Amino acid sequence: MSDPVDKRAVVATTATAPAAVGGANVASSSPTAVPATAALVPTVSPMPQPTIVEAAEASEQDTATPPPMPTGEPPAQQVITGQTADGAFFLGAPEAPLTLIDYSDFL
Amino acid sequence: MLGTEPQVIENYVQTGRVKLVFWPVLNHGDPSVYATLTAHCAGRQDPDLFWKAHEMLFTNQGDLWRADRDYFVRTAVSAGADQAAFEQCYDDQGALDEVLTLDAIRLERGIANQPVFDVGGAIYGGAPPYESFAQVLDAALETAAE
Repeated sequence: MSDPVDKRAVVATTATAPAAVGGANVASSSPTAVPATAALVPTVSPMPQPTIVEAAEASEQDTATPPPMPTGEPPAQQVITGQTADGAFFLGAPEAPLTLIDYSDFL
Repeated sequence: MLGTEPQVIENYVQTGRVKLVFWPVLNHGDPSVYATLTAHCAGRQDPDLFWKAHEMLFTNQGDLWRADRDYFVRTAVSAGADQAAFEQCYDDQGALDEVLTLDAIRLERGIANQPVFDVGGAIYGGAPPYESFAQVLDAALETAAE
């Protein structure tokens, strides 16, 4: 038996998004996958000319959780995971010289 | 980014040169929201679980349009999350608000579409092949080292 449908009102979709599934969030036999369309800024190409915009601030107060040490074998480079002060999740050394922010939708 | 992500992680993140931040974009209504909430709530238990759920959600992206609460709970549990704790988070308005706030912040930053990548402050769009990504990262690392 399916769990009750989540009735919480959530987010208004943007102009590029299809209508929200909303309350009818149940399994169906024929999902209609709508590929994300976007008016893209120039895609990355060899030796692109970066657009200089205000730098996204990576928090200096990340909450890092070192992964557990594997037993037996010598560890590969450990990758730290944690959350920025804004609440986004990160992977890698908090003090790494470069921060890459991946703005993505799971759909 | 999932296609190039393993290589970026192996060659740049694991070597300590790049910190990778995932910033959710909620451009597809409730499926986007609850998929993101799933990874977010898994991550609340352990940030490692965020990335496991992240990979599972992207790998099974085709399922997400019709996914219901049960699906997301199973995903989180498969990633290693404690079910009771996950469900409490998933049903919590506060957790939902956190996810929505992240989405609001990216809109304030002018990020309207996805995927978009911020490489040390420079913005790029689209899903480039790894080689192009690597060139951009190498150039940015060189600049950062100066």
